[in-house]
Amino acid sequence: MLTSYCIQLVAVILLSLSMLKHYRDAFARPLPTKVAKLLKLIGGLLLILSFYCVISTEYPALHSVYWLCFLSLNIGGVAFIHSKLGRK
Amino acid sequence: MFAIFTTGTLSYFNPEISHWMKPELANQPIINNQLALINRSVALLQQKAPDAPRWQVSLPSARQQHFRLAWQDDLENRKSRTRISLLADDFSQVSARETDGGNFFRQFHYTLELREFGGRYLVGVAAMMMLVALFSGIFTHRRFFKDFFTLRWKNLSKGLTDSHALIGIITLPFFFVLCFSGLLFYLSLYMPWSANTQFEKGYQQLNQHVSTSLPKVSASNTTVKVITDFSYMVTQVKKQWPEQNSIARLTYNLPTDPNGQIVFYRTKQFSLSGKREVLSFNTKGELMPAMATERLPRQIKRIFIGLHEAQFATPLLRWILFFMGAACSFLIASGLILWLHKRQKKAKPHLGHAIVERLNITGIGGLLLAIASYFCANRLLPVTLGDRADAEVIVFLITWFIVLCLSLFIRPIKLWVALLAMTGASLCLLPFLDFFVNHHWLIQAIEHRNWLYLGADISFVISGAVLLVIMQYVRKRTGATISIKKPVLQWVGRYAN
Repeated sequence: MLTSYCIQLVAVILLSLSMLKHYRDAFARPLPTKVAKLLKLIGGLLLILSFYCVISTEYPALHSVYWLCFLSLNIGGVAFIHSKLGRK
Repeated sequence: MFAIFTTGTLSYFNPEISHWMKPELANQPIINNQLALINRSVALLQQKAPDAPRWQVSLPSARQQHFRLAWQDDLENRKSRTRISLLADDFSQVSARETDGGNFFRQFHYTLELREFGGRYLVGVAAMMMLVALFSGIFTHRRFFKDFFTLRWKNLSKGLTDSHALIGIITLPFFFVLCFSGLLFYLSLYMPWSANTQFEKGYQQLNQHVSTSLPKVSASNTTVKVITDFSYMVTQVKKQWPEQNSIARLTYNLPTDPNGQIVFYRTKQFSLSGKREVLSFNTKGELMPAMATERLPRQIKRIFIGLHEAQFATPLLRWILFFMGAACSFLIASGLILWLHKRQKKAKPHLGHAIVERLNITGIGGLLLAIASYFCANRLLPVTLGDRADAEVIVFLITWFIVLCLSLFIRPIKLWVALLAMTGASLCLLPFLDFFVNHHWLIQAIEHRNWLYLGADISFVISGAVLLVIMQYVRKRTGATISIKKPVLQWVGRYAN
């Protein structure tokens, strides 16, 4: 469960960084198109991997609920961090 | 809808709130030997109600420390049930103050205290509208996907718009499941026509067709000795349900009859379904055949209902769901405020806007204050008061009504700040109130490390602090100040300013 959560967090961070605005806020430089595509691809794959980690456990239905809840938390958390970075 | 979601969110902690609101029953030692409790309980039931056709033992669990025995004088009539609460260590009977506890929020959440006046229909209509709003909201904020993960806090209006859109996206699955499963609960009320056409007794008969249950027991004319040692049965049960304290409840039907039946109910930890797993034995201690599997549509309905109630949730998941519920309440509240704000900016002020503004204040700020007052009433109303549970509810409703009246006379922004300040302060002071009413409860909770009780106190303080922070934020952004001349409330005003 913890592994899935960590992978999901990384996935959400990568997906958020694939957006020009947030990439610029984080690294103070423009986002190359190739990097954006790569970040999207890796982020998406990691998201699928985190879900696979969850459904391969003993209680897949129960853990899917956790996965969705954690996804919301992670998106909320990452948005909060980006709002702080954006202020700077 | 805000009231439905807020009270529904509180219902995730229904047993915990009830636990705090019945301090006389709190601080029980946790006893993990379920077999000893069952054996002793049945012996006690044999003394208290030897002729009752049904005995029930509700065992204490991590969430619900109340240990209850019950017996029913008529097998078919649940109203003939008598309940007693006991202390698990010495089996002495305890009586708690009369209160609806967390159940009030649960019932309010789907009846709005209007059960006899179409409350459930109103909630159903609201849920349907919410489903429509959910998808229309996605369409309205479709451009938000370009600015995903963006929150602008500098401006109150922009901050509120961004957080509204972001929360709308992240709570999308949660929102959909809750609204849809909420409708499934009372499908028989909302769409009775099909079942009424096909079956003589409507949905009741349809339910009998599609649900599975244990075979009904019928009394014979002979009597047998009551089983007093459940060790064999409990061992059998533990083989199938190996987790600790897996038995939630035991029902002993026709205890003195050879056709008697003993049913064990499992705690809801490993299944999304709202239906409890059961194991039944006959009076010879033989395991009876398992209940037949239900049809797929019925199973799907039960899963949605299970997801709605989240009985399966561990403390971590329950807290996450609580935050999601709180986020959804915030989503609705911010939606209401934004809708009005945009119209107030564009159009000339008119009566409709003024009415909506007052209703917003009452519906959002007033409800929060009413909830805080309900908790305060639980500690302040005399324990010996007749119809005490109703009196607590009346305090809740009167507080809400007073806020409605105040909203007609006080400038909206001032009232917002005052309400947030009063609610925040009341919630922060609840543990102190609890301590002053009877300091033993809190001290014993600390001694027994009763995290259910202490957790409630801590949650009150944190919720109060969050409301005070929001109040400060609103006050700073709008420049609203509170000037209250009444000496009793001066400290609230001083803090808010």
